[in-house]
Amino acid sequence: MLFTEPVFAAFFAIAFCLYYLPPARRFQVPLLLVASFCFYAYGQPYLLLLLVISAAISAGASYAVLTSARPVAKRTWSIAGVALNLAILGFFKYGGLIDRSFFAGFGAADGTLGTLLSLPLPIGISFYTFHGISLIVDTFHSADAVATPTVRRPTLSQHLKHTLLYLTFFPQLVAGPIIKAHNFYPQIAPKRFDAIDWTGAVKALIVGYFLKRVVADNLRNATLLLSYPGLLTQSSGNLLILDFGYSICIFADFAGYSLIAIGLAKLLGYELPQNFNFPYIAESFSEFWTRWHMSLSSWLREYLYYPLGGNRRGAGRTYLNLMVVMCLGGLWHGAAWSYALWGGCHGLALVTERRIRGKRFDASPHLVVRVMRVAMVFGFVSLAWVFFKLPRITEATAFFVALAENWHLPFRAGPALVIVLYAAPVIAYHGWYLWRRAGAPKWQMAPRLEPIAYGVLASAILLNAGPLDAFIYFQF
Amino acid sequence: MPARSMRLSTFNSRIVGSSKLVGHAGMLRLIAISGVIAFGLYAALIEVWSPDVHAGQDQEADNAIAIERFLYDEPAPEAAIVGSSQAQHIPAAVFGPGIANLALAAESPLVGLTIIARSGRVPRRIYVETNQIAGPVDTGLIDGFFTEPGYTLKRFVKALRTTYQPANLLVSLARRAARGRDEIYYPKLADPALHDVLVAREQGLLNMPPNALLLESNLGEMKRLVDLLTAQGAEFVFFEMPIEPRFEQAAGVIAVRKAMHAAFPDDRACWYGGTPAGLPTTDGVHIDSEEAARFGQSLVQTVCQPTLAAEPPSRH
Repeated sequence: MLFTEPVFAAFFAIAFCLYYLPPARRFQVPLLLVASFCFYAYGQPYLLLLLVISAAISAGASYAVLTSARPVAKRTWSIAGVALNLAILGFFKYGGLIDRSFFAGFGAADGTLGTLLSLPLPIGISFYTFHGISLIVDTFHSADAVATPTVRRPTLSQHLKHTLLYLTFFPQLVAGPIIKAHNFYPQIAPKRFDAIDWTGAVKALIVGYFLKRVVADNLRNATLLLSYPGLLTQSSGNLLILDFGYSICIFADFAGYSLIAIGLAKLLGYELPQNFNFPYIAESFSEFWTRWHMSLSSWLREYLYYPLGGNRRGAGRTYLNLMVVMCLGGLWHGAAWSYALWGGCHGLALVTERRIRGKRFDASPHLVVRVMRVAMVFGFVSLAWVFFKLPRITEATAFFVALAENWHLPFRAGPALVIVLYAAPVIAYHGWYLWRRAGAPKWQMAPRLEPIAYGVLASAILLNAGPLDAFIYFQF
Repeated sequence: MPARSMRLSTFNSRIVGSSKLVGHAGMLRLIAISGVIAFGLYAALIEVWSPDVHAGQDQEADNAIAIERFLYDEPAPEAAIVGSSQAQHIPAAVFGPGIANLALAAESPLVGLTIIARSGRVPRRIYVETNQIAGPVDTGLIDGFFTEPGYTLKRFVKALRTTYQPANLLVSLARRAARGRDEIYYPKLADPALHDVLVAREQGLLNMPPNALLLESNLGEMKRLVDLLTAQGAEFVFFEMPIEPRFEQAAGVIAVRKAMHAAFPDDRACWYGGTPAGLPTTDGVHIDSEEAARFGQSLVQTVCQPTLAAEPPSRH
């Protein structure tokens, strides 16, 4: 079920009304669980089994960690829980890739293994297994991580109920934002209708739906020629514009999804973490990763980069850690080597940046230099998206060859105009942030114009929505 | 660790404090009123102006505009063409207002036929391009146009149609300013090397025989629709769009041609016999708009005499 489908609107309206009915207040968590199961089971009900198994493993392992008295037992249970979560992710997401790459498609033969490997990628598996790992690690570090305002030391059934909610909470179930256990459990408490942050929720929903339905869904079609072999017919100038359009499209799609998730969660009384913070104004690659998919970056930093040693073990080890984290982070996005390559490109950029840190270009506060830094980071990030759009490395290579060779083909202004048209709101969105951050003199009318701007965005969703399509990050 | 360590969204009104000026309820009311006014103003503009939009921002918009023009334009067209992107290349100007081009890019002729049947607006003559009958039928696309309440609302509120989306309107106006018309236009391909690459790719596809089960099922559905629409007064003309000469004898092309002629025999159905045995194309299967215009002009002059309309023997 997509947030953008009419059926979801009906589903949410029913769930919302039942959730806040006074007699149902005691059953808010079970109600959310039922709603989340229905949401997930819609379309592919059999995959619900895997979600429940994964949740049971995470709940069981974390409860064992929580109740074990001996440190060795705590460590054993946490290692086992994390390993099982990784095994589920590895098998169902990467089984096919590993089989094709190293065993020449052996698993594709008949039998149980072949059947399991041929299953479609369970939606949200990358997210709920990361949630499971967060739960186990957080519990290992502190028993308070799973305490709620009303239950300090949960029983097994209470812990199972809370864990199921943490892993399946439908606003963030299939594509995040990834919320850490120690941020979610303290929010599990009875919610009141009069405590809803209506303004925050409505604004997040309007901007989220606008980014998804108007910008991303239209740009997806406008950048359709950024596919093989259509890209071969495009001039180099058009290829650059197409790549620029895809950069905006993937941002609008995922940031839009995240904002919708945040808005829906607010309506249910929960706060999800910010996932995007105007990433395309980043002046460095490290800054980019503090602004893009922030919940994943934060997860990777806390549960992978720091445990590997972070930057505390010398320059060489820091570079290695960065490369490992970025390559694995890339591979997390999809079961194809081009995703690892994409992560590797970013890892290399981060390493290079660390090596030149403090040099003249890197440190200059001059406006022109800062603009050049933003352009350089954006240009690199945009070119790297080619590995996302074209997961076959041969096709990505064909793009770069065409980009170098197709300067003789005529530039087509029409498609470029459409891309620029839809990119304009995203550019303005980033510009608005820069304007505010630069401490520009306050415009007296601005607060009065704000509701009008949101109203216009809401009407644009009705007037100029693109063809309904799935979210790009659902495939991850 | 407590929840407060999490970085919250900038849309958290408790952080931004954006509602200080008017309060939460006032803010929501202002947003709602602004939205209604913005929508109302645009809808009124479209009703009063009623711009003539033939093509939009991309292929999917072009398809939607063609379908909406067929569904909602008055008077209902006297003739319609259904098919794929191959027949879509025929410029609308060739036909004039009485003929609707429901040939849709990346779609089967069955999509156009189903839309005609479901709409109840049956033209007197329907031209059916038969090249792409072996492909899957996008039923989701068809259902999308007939889903209520959108189907009825769009009849009365033009601004809700894809045709009049602000972006499509802007693109249409920009095209008119640049070249005097906004129809879909496919120029000749100027790069011979690129042409060869594209043709080689098509060759691989056309040399493969079609999915026999799907082809049989599609032909069955086409017979049903043809019978249904014939009973409602429509007359059918079947035709093939010209393709690259070297593909005339490709396995996939021959199989589809034979199946079509078996399902709609030459002595009972009206076949347009003027399709040349191959024309230079841009990519193996699409002719450019100028060539398509010449072909279209000849096609619409077809006199339907089933027993006399003969297929050139060399093409069987």
